[in-house]
Amino acid sequence: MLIGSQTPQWHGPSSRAAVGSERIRRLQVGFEEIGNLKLSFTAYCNPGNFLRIAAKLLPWLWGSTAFAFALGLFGTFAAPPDYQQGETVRIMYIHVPAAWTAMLAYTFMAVSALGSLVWRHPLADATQKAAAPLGAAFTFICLVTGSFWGRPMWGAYWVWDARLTSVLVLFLIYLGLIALWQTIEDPSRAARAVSIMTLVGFINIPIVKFSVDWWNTLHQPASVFRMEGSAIAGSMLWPLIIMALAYTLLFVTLHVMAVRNEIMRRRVRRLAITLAAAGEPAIARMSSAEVAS
Amino acid sequence: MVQHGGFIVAAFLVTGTVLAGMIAAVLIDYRVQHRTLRHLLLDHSDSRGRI
Repeated sequence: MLIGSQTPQWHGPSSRAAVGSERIRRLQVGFEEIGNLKLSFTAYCNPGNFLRIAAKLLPWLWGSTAFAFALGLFGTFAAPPDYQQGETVRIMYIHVPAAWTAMLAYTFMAVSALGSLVWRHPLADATQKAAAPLGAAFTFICLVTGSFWGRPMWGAYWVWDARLTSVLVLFLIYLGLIALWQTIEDPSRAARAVSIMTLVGFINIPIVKFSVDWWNTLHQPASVFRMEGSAIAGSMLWPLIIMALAYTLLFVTLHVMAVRNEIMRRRVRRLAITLAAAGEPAIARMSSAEVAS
Repeated sequence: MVQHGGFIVAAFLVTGTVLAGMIAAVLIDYRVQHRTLRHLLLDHSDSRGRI
């Protein structure tokens, strides 16, 4: 029974309800923020927005790539010769970053393939199609420069070593993916087939990376990315890192340009189909190469 | 004379050629696509730029 001014002081359910509602409000705010993030990410992935952003980014990317290459090449020839390899060590400054970029390009393609298969996003299709020839070119550089280094150091241009063989397999996978893109005419069907093959082929990336640890190989083990830290002297490590940055920037720059080309190619194809369906005779003037995706 | 200089020069030449080739290929492709797209848009659009 309550007497006079005595009022019940409830700290139980009512305060718990207040805390609960505050938590719900915070959760709602959180979801809204996530929703906004998703919206902005989707907006960035829109091909039209990509073209606008690419136009603004490309001059900066070209500038930074040229600067990084100039600095990296200076470092390559300013670095001291190796006590065992002599001047031949300079090949490493173009060989190792090519290998890293080749694996980076494939990893990027695998992520795009996932985006292509899960979200069916056309930009994901374009990004993986654009990355394949670039990745193949970097793998080719890695193989050829490695051969030129191997001849004076190992006495052979090529040995069927686990690392060399797995990189050759990577190159063949790249060629296979490029061929598959050309084989299927419909871009969305081609993207699905290529995405599956890309994800299956991704198994080769850890094999390339860890082949020198898993098997007894002629190729030397990892000397930069190691648990114990880098085994390379600082005067030789920094030019290597700058060259790796230059290669990565070149890949990003060329990739942005190639994605832009791919978006334009798809627009040309769509326009050509629309005009052909409308019975435009002028479409006959275009070569099949221009219309083909 | 640098020991194994020929291999070093060959490696740098191949790398430079491949990188330059990549850049040229992407630029030529851009030119082709841009010209084709412009050709299609100019020849088949109305005064408001619609196809």
